[in-house]
Amino acid sequence: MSTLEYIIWNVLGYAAMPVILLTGFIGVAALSLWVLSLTSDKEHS
Amino acid sequence: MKLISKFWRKLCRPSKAAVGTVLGLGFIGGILFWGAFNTGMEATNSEAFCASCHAPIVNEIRETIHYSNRSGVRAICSDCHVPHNWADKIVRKVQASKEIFAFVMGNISTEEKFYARRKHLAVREWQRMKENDSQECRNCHNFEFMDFSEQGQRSVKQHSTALAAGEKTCVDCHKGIAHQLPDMSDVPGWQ
Repeated sequence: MSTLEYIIWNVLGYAAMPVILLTGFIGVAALSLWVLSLTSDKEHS
Repeated sequence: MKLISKFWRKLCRPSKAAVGTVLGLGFIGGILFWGAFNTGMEATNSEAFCASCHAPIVNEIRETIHYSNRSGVRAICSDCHVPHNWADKIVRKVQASKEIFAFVMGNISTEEKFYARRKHLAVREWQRMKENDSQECRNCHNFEFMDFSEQGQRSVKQHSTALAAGEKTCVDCHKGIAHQLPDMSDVPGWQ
């Protein structure tokens, strides 16, 4: 692997970690908001 | 955009549910997310997953001591080819996304193609292991606990000098211990 390839993959690899955690947070938040919208946060028209 | 701003507004607005309920949802959601993520990671570490592309090489290990031995301890592909600590594992997995491209392009889709590319794959893996001081070997084989009295003369000589001094690392000598070697004619340091 060339130095450039090594740098690219390392940058992408380490950048993936916050992306994974943020995706998890957004997914859990969206699911929780949906569950809450069905129950206590139900909008009354 | 509208969806994002709606999502953001909802995130900023306090829920009418009890704090315990909101925390509980987050806690359970976190466990589910992490469980699913880890299950996915483990699935891509299984021998069956590796064999889906590298079938010929996975079969070769059956003839070696890393598959069958007197103590019944065995290594699977990921034990030697995927770093064990989390950060390095993620980097390797992201790097492996390039291999999905190779899979789609059919780079090793037949045995002939696989054998033609074998040396390239092997050299890259040896280089990776050399750079990390054969970390995946050392996950099981600890130099500190090697009993030289149980080793052959040549092993003792190499382990007590080059390996002990850090001049060489495991993979410098132990190539082809779990797979057949490719054409080694122009591999540096190999006779």
